[in-house]
Amino acid sequence: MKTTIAIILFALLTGCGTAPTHDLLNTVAVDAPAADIAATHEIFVATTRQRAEKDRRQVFDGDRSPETSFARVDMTVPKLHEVGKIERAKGRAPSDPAKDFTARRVTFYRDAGVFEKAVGADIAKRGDRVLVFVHGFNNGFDDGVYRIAQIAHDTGYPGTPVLFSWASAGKVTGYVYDKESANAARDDLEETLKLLANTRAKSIDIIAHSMGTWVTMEALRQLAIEGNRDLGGKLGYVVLASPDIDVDVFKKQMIRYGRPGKPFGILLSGDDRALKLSSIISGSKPRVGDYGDAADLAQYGVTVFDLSNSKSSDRLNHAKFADNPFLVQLIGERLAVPAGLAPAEVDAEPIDTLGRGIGQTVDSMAEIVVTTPLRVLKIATGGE
Amino acid sequence: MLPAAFAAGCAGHRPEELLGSAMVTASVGDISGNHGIFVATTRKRSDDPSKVFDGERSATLSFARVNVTVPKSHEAGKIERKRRVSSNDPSKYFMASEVAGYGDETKFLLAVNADTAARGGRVMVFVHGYNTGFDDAVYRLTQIVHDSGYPGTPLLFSWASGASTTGYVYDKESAAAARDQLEETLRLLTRGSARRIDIVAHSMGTWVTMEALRQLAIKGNPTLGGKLGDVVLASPDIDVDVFKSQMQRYGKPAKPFIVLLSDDDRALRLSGLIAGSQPRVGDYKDAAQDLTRYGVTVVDLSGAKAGDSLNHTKFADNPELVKLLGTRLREDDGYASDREVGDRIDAINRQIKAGLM
Repeated sequence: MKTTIAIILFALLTGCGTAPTHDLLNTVAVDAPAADIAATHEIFVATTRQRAEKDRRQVFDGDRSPETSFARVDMTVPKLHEVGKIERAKGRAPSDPAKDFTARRVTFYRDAGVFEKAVGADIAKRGDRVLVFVHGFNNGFDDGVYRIAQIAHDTGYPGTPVLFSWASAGKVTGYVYDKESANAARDDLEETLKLLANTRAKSIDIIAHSMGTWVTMEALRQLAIEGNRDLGGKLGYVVLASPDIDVDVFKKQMIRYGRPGKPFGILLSGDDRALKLSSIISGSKPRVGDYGDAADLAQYGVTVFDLSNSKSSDRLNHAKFADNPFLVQLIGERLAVPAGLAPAEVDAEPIDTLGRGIGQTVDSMAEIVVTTPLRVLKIATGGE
Repeated sequence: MLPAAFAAGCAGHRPEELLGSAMVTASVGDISGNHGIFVATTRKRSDDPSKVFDGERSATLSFARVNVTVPKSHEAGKIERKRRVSSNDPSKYFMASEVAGYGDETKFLLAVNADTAARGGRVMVFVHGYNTGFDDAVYRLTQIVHDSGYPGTPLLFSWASGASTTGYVYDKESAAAARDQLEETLRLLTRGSARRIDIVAHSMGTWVTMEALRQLAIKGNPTLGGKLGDVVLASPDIDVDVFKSQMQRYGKPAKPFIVLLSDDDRALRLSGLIAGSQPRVGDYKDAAQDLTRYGVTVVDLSGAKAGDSLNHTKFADNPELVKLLGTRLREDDGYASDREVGDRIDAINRQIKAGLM
C-alpha cells in the first residue's frame, strides 16, 4: 500500500523569508490553466534523508536516516520556462504553476519492494531507460527535485527520472557534515542502482553533480569490488559534472573501478568558484572539476569535456552542465541515443548541428574542448 | 582555517626529522630496546633524506624498515624525542638508527616473513592518525611495541598525512587515497608466514582501517582468510552514522572490534564541530548502548589520565593502558569468550574509576 498526500496543508509562517528556504510543497493548492503548463514530470526518489517533521513543506530534511526512503514527486514546469533556468517562487511564497516549477503531489512508498514495482512500471511504460541524478553539496531536498525536473525537461530525456537524494544539510557551512552524509549514503546508492537493475530497464544512466560525484564513484567502486561494475550490463552513461573529488582520490577510484567499457564523461571548468573553495580547504590540491590537465584524467578511461569557455547563469560557474541552455540540450542530444548504441568515440559533427538548431542568445555560446582517452577535439559552437 | 589547538593535533615535534646526521654512540647498557619497524607507506620519498618520507602522496606503495632504539631512561607512555639543538644521543632519546628500503613487495614480504617466523607468527599493523608525520608514526609504533611488550612483528602503515603543513581535509583525502593500499598490505601479509594479524588504529587511521576492512568484506574476505586477530580502534575520528554504515556493511565481526573512546577527547570535539556538531565515535557518549549491537566492544577511557592535554592518545600515552593493550594482544590466539572479555573490561573500568590509571 502507498500513502498519497495530494497537497499537504499547513499554517503559513509569517516573516520576511529572505533566508534560503527549502520548501517543496505549497501550503494551499494553487491552480493554473492547463494551457500555462508545459509538462508534468514524475520524479521517482530514493533518499537517505529523514522525513521533515518540523517543517513538512520540505518533505525530507537535512538529517540522516539509517534507511533509504522512497517517494515520487510530480512536478509541473510552466509554459514560460526558459531552458537552463529553474523558475521558483521567491522566499516562502507559494509556487504558482503558471509561473513556477511546482510540486503538485508527493507519493510515499512503504518499502523498496513497493517502490521497485512502481518505478518498474514507469520504466516499462517509458522505453526501458532510467536517468539517476545525484545532487551535490549544499542542496536541500527541494533543490535536487527542482534540478532533476529541469534536467529531465530541458534534455528531453526519453525515460524515467530517479533522484538519489543524500542528506546534504543544505547549508554553505556544512561542508564536512555533507561529506559524512555522502559517505553514509554510499551503500544506499548502490542498493538503489541494484534495485533499478532488477526492473526491466535496459539502460541505467547516471548524472552526478559536485559532491554527488563522490557518492557515485564510491558506489560504482564498490560494485566493481563486488564484481558487478556494469550492473549486469545495464549501466549506461555516467556523467560526472563538476566533480568535487580530490584528483589523487579520483585516480585511485578509477584504478579500482578499472577502465569503463564506455568512458565516463567528466564535465569540468577552470573558472569553477565553488570548487576553488573545496580545493583550498583540502590543502590547495586540485579537485577534478577544476583540474587543468585533461589528458592526465583521460588516461584512466574517461572523456573530459572542458567547459571553461562556456557561460553559466550562476556566478559560481559550478552548474554549467544544467544552467547553460546550450550545454543542457547538448547533453539531452547525447543521452537520446542509448549508451549501448552510441558510437565509441565522440565526434564533432552532431554538436555543430545542434548549435545551429537551438537559436539561443549569445549567453549560451560554448566552446568545448573534448579530451578522450585517444585524442583531443576542440569544438566552438552554440548561440549565433 | 582550523583552530590552532586542532592544527596542533596529535603530534607536537617539529621538524619532521627521523634520521639524525651525526649519531652519538651510546653504550649498550644505555639502550633498553632496539625495534625493527617494518613500513608500508603511501607517502612520497622526501627530498630531505633525514625525513625519509614526507606528507606528499605517492600513487604506489613504498616499503621500508626502520630500526629504532629506546633509551634506558624511557618512561612508559612517553616518547623521549630530541629537541632541535640537542645531540643525537640514543642514551637519552628514541633514535632511528637505520632505514632500509625494499625494491618491491616480494622483497619486503621476504624480510617480514623472516622476522615474523622468528616471532611466533604474529604481526601488528599500526595505522596512525591525523596530523602525523612519518617520524611521529614510527616513534609512536616503537613506543607502543616497547611499552606493551608486543611479541610479534610491528608493521607501520603510514598514509600521507600532511602533518602541520596542510589540514584536516587534506588528510581526509590522503586517507581515502590510501584505502586500497592498506587492503593490499593486509592481503600481502596473509601470503606470508603470519598466522595472526592484529590491527591497532588511531584517530583518522581508524577510518582508513574501517574502509579497508569494509572493502575486504565486500570482496568476501572479511577475516583475511581467518588470520585477522584483534582490531583495536583507538579514539576513532569517524562520524557515528558513517561508522554504523561501515559496520553494517562489514557485518558483525566474529571477534568484536575493540573501540577505545573518551568523552574528554578535545581533538575529536573539534572534528565533531567541523562536521556539523555531530558526534565522532571516539567521544560518543552513547557508544556503549548504541554501538555494541554492531559487534564492537566499547572501552570507555573517560576516567583515565592522558599524557597530553588533548586526551586523544590515552591508549598509548597512559602507561597503564598501553601495558593493558599489550596484555590484551599477548593473550593466546584462541578466541576469548565473551564472558572473559566482559570481565576484563569491567576490571579496566573499576581501575579507571579508582583512579589507578
